[in-house]
Amino acid sequence: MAVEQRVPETLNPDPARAHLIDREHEVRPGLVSVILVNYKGAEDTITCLRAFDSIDWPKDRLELIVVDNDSQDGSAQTIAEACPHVRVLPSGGNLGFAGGCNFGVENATGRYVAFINNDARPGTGWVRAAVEEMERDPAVAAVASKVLNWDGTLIDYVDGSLTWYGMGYKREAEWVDDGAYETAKDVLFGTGAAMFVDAEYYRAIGGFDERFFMFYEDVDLGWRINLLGRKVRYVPGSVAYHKHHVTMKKFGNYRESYLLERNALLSLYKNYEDSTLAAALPAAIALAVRRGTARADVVTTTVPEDTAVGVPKMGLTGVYAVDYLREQIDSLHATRQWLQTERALTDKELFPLFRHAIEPAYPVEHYLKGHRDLVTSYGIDTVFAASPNVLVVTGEPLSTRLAGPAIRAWEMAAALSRTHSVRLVSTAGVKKVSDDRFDIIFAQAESLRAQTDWADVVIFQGFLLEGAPWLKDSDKILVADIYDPIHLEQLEQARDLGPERRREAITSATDVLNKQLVRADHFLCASQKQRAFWIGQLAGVGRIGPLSVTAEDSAASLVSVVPFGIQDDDPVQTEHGIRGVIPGIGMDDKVIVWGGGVYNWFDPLTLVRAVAGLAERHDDVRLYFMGMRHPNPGVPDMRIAWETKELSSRLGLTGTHVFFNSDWVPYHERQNVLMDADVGVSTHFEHIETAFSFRTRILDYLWTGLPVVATTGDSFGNVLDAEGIGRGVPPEDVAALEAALEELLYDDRAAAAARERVLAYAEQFRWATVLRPLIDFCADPHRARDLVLSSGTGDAIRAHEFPRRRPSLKGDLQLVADYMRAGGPKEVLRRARGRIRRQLGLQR
Amino acid sequence: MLTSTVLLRDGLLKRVPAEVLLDVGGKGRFADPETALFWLQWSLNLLGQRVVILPGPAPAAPTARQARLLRRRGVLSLLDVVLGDELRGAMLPVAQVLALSGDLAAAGVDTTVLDLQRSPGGDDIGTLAVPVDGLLGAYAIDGALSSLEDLACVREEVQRLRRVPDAALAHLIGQAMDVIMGIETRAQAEQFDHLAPLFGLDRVIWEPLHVLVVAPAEGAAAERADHLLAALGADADVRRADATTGIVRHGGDALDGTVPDHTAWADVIVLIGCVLDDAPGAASIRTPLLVDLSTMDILKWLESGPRSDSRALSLSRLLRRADRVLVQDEGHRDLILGALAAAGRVNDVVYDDDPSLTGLVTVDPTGAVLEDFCRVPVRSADAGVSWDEPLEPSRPNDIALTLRYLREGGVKQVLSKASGRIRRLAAERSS
Repeated sequence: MAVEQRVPETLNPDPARAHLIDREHEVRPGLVSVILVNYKGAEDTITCLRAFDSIDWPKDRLELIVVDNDSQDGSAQTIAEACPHVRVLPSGGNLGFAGGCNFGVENATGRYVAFINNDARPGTGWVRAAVEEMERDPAVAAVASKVLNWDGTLIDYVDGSLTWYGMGYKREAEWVDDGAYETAKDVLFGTGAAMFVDAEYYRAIGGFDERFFMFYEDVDLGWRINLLGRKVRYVPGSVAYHKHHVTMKKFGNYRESYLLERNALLSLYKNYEDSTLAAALPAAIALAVRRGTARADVVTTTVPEDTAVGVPKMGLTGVYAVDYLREQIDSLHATRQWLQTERALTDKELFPLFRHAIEPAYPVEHYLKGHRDLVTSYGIDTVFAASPNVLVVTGEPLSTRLAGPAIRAWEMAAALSRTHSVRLVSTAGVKKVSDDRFDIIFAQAESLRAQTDWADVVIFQGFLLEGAPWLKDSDKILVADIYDPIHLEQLEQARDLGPERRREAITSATDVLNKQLVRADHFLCASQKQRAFWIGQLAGVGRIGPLSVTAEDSAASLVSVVPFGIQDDDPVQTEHGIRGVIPGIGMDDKVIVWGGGVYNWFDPLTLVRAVAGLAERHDDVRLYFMGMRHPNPGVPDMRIAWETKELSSRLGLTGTHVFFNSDWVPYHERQNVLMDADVGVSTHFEHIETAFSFRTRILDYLWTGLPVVATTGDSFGNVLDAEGIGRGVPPEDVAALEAALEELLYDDRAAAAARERVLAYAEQFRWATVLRPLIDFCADPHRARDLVLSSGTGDAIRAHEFPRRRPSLKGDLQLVADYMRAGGPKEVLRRARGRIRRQLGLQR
Repeated sequence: MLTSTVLLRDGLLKRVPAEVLLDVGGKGRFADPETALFWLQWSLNLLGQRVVILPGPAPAAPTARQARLLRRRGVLSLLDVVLGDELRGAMLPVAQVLALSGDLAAAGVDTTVLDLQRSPGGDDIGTLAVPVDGLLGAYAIDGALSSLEDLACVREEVQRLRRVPDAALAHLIGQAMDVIMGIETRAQAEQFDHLAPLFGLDRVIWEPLHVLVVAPAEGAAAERADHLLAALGADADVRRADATTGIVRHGGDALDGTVPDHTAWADVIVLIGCVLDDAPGAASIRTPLLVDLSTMDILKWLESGPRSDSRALSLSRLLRRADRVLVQDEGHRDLILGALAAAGRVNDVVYDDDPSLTGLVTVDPTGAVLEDFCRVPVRSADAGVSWDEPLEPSRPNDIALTLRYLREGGVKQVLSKASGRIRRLAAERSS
């Protein structure tokens, strides 16, 4: 194709979109228009264009457009001759990247426009992966491609971050692409080096802001798209390769710094809502001035007597950037008014996409001090709070053998670690356990203080407020997990302690809970029945009143129902846990499993008697107790465990039909036991603890597809028959229990029907589902209003810097191999030195 | 106003926080004496005092560069301390941009020179010769940033102890705008008029006072509330809450939420014939709170309540929080004074501010004081006072000394005298 002359006679009067003309545009369905801006870079441009010959996308659905930004070196003609299938459009002047791209889009006919730097090249799937994602999800207005360095080893872009003062940054730039960035996600912005936008939408919202000329126009566009309610999605299958900063190498560093400074100010002025701008703008202006003066060591405390002074250009970058803001303020204000009227999301909703807004970025001490002072004075870390640090605390030990509360805490930590920095703390000890997703820490006293200081949100069970009394008067957001009503539990559990100690145990458990109810900002319980109970107890400590009610929520919103859950992955039996392992239990026996400890509120005695009855008719019936005591050594042995063994022995069942595991099955191996059983069982006495309890062992039965036989009266026992997942039997009714067990063990049709229903019923108890209220709370965590209003304290949420990066051994090894190939040991040494310096903040 | 003299009633000196006065002329932040005195006047206004400017010769504007730099820097620092968050956010950017761009423009500096688009070329030169006068505004911004750390505790103290919200000082701030913005020429005034709305300053500073009135829907208290609304007219933006139902109305329209959802919006809260229990949330915020008991027979109300101490406790809570109480006659005033004494409100701070205690509890049969308070809300003298902190017996002397040093030897004298004290204070704090 020949060079096309398309320079418009009249520009758009809006300087932000001068080269996007208000007119009807031809849009060809299915077509992708790829736009490259060339400025004195014909050789790179031709290399890039030729790479399109080998991509996975039909040529008849591709429109390649090169905008030549008045290179004045014959570039346009050279490119047109080398790539005759490409449209070459001289722009008539140097419009910068923003204006050049807009000029290209103005003349494009594609359904989608793609931008790629002329010093980049597309990967095979660059176009296809992006287009497929945009067509699959109409909410996606733009696709951010994955951008790697030229040889594909190091990252250029996999996500965008934005500082509070408007400067975008690519945190992962120059990291090794170690396979950790292969999940699509929504981001604040893509890089203009390689991205896609819905063409009509691009024109409708004004495209790249031409006042920027170059740099941060991509940040600003993505920010605008998100603010207006559409999405920018990072699509890892859409890969491009980039040589970095060819254009700016032609000019001085100050040129780039000036553009970055002023465009950051322009972006934040346009995009922040009023309240955010009130904090960010005066601070950002001061910081821009300081960044330049500090980087160039300009003394500003005194002025010389001379008429003029020599100032390094770098020292003026921030000063002149502020002046550019003033120069453009009228048209920027018009843009701001339009954007703030049309905005669909609040700043608070957008801040998580900033990732970590508190990032000073330039390691110059005088500048860093200014940054610190501004963050403090303007409360920037409070305004930009997002992604709070979450501490999950359990009083149970964390080891390979986990009791229910510890399992629950672990699952909470795992679920929240997808979106937050999470630490799981045990105040009772940590032994031989770890998890890649979060840190697991044993902490007490002062070390516990360090952990709570780190946290914005503390989710806890049990006695934390006794061990960490400083939390009571702190402004931390406390979430009390009271799924276990321990004061009700003590009514029965403490019976063995004697009357005096029993009363003390009940009273102190009530005190502990009341303290939690008085201080915590949110509560988690296990069932609707529990919820009503806890709201009553909250009212009893004065927490239900007009201050606890907001316009949107009732006081009841203080308490969320988060039952115990079953893990999200299906169980896999790696070896037998009972059959052929426990002497006396064969591969074809009918096995009933008691899937947890034996505590006083349970009734294993009726069960043993029922098995005795069954054994008279069925020689192959077997009952297996998975554990006889609590995995937490702090919980004393209970009377009922001893009585059960006694009864079994007296009836002559021990070792023939009844089997006791004196140890505790490791949590991660429990499916090996459960999947060897035919029926899961849970029997208890009738009392208040039962009414409000939530039997976690029954969830294990559901997870492993076991039909359930249980006493009625608690939240599970009452639904077994109705849901068809097992049989409910009255308390202490040996005959009914015996009949129910016999049916589910020996009636194959009944057993099969129950098994099928169990699997369907279990879905609602997946951890991912049951933890949703907690995940939602942590997405927008807040202090309880009555506590804030009555104490005058705010909340502790602060913006955080990025957590220190975990080293990637795989990535490092790959990098060492690459450097060895490239330059031998010297190159490895040079690179290692550079990394150490970077980590020390000595160079960027 | 920028003045070379400030004359203070001696009794007022102790009302100005010691931290504030240490900063008069101290450590170079307000090294320009006129700015230091301007700062003192503003502080007095924040504390609910009236400052009267008498006609007389105004101090000459500094002509020396360094003095001009110090003045701009001082005024920017002053804004960092005295303004509440919202007004600072709108006013400071205007002051920054006027200072920076105004000086660049006045000195004829070409600020496009770094712009690749408009001034290509010259990349082999690393340094620019810039007229020094053009850089004063930028240097003032940088200098104010250098002062920010020291000013952080001063800001915290001033904002905690201030008795008058920015909204009630808007007309005075408007009068002082030339000083605040460094406007000396017509062109600068025009530039300010241009920029103020673009940075939202107009919107924030001229927003009418937000008044939240909580009163029963019927009876004498309701009538008094009606009267207040009529008197305020368009001068204030009023939301009215029904003390019984908690429903909040603006004009005739019911708004979302109940009283606690609207307390943060208010610049002033007025309770007429009701107690804090009727305005949950008003207890813990710093908004000026007027309690109008003039329609109530307090004793009868206490005696006729349920046979418990709940009404007495309600009254006690109410009086602990009230910034000003209005009553119907002297007899009720005596009773309320007694109740205030029991609540710890008849204290040295309140007494020193106003020995008659009229400012704390006032007979107001006509509603004139009620209306005045809504126009110029002032928190009580002891609002924000931390009773746990030990008093510093030497404080009044410090203040007098500071002013004396300022008069005798200007900033240098204060600096030399204060530096030893500051070092001692710093050493004490760090230990």
